[in-house]
Amino acid sequence: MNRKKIQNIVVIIAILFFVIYFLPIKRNSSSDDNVVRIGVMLPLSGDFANLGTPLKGAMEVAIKHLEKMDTKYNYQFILEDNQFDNARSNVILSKFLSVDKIDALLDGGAGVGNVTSPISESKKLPHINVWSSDSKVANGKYNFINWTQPPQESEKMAKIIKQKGYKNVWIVYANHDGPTAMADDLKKVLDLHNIESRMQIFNIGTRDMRLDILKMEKDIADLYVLFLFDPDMSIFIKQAKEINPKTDVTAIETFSFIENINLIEGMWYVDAAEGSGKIMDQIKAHNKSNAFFGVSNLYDNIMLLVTAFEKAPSKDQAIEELLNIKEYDGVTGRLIQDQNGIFQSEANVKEVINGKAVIVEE
Amino acid sequence: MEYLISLGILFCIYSMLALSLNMVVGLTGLLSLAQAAFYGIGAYATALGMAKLGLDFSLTLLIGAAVNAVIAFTVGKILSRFQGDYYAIVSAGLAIIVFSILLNWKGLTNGPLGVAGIGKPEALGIDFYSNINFMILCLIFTIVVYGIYYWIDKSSFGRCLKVIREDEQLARVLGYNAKHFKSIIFVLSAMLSGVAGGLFACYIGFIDPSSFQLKEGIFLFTIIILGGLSSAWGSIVGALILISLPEVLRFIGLPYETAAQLQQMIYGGMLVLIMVLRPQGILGKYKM
Repeated sequence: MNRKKIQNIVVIIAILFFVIYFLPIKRNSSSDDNVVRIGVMLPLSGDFANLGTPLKGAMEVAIKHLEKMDTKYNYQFILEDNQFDNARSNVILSKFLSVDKIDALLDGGAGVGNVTSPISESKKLPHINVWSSDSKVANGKYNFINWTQPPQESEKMAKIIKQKGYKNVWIVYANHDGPTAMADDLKKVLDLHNIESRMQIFNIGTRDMRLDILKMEKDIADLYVLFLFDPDMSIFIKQAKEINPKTDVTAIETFSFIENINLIEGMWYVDAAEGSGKIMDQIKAHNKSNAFFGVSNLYDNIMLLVTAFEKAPSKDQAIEELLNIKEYDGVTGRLIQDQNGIFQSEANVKEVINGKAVIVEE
Repeated sequence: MEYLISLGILFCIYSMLALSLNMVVGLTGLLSLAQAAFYGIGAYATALGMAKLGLDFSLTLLIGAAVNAVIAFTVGKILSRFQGDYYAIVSAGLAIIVFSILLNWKGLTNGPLGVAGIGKPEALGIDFYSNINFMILCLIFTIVVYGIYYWIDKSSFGRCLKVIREDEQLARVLGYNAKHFKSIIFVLSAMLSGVAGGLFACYIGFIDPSSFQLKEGIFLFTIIILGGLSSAWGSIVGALILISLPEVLRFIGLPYETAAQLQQMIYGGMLVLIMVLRPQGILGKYKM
């Protein structure tokens, strides 16, 4: 290497050194027996920021509530943005473990959960995931999911499809882990109920779906069950209604995060249990948004951890208390823990009336 | 320490990817965006080989490299007909095709649900379960890839590649089979990217197609542009900056409410600043 190259490398290292040591840096690595540190990783920037940001609000409301509670421990939250990226999540967990010395972990999504679960298990770190439709994330003693799982929602959907007498169901789903798991599960359940169904997949970002919709209409469709993300979902609904306004459209969960709720006015859908009551109203007011997808679950996850840590004689024994919580009355409703460490509450059937999703059947 | 080791592993993996991409882009002047595809194939070969078939880690690395060699050789034959922007478009097409296969061939890849339960490797009687051991393994591979780059750079083969980069017609006039040379370097680069993919799969323990999208190829491209084209050290410095900078920004006392967004803005701003100050890249020898 010539002299200039060495100079350049030295300059870069000096810049990094400057950034690390001379700017106001938060350092938080002292261990304290009276403090419980909870690491939270959510997508706060990037394509999925609209999902993660409302959960950050739920965390902030939970912190305010904890400040007013008389607790044995002082609870500290370390929030990091993982952009829903697997490699980034792995690095963040390393930071949580070695720099922040966390005592518990909260995260979201099946992909991220699949990365963090084995590490949580090996490091004996209580870990609760929200949103995951992949039950593998809850494998082991230290891993939990708090999310209504696809079989329960699919059963509810099958029941309604039977009641309403739909004969030709199209399951329309995004090529992504969550929607694929849910669509596959619904297909299995509909087959068991002898309901004719076919599947149509769309890659995320597809904007013109009309040819595929025409094909589905040609093969006869009387109900579309959507597992798409917005804006793809809104585009699909508009284009489907343009082609045949008579074909009904419904969804499992995904209508919950549609941007323009007026687009689904009068439509019904099956949803994971939604938070309700005073605390949920506080979170919505705090977020200045009606977004609720997983919001109450994250709040409940924090309180589940707090309950476990408060009851346990020592921080190390909190996991035993968490395993002992078989039923929990949270903001999301009554959560029941199964033998695999999955907290679930009953799926709801909702209808959009006057721009609001109203529970019509629990 | 674990945190730094994790970053060290990622740094080694991305250095390998950047070095292998720089062989194609920097040394030969081919605008390839296909690196994410070979990275993904290597990762899936190791993931499926270890998690589903119970194969030995080193064998899965060889399989990944071999599969990449076959694909790169076949595709390279087509790609070698193109130059400049056209090469970039066709190679981006390959990246999109491979991503679509990883996403849609559910019987093999499990589609968007990915492959979980990939263990840490064992090779030559040594286990690499701990992150420090695994980082040493990654470092050894990075040194090997650096060595290959260095050898090519200094060899007569490397000089031919540089002639092709500067003037392909001149290379032909001098009697060199440019297509042949372009094909060889493309295959070699793909094989090395496959090895990096295999290491990534073992490190992360779970892979899904989202890690191998075209944007990953663009990220690798950014690393070598930032670090400097046709420079081995440039690839390493580029990887160091782009892997460590987002992590460094986590420790700055940014306002809590907007920290995530501000981190992204600072990250982008610093990249723009570096490129304004050093348009040829930090250690660049060649400017596109």
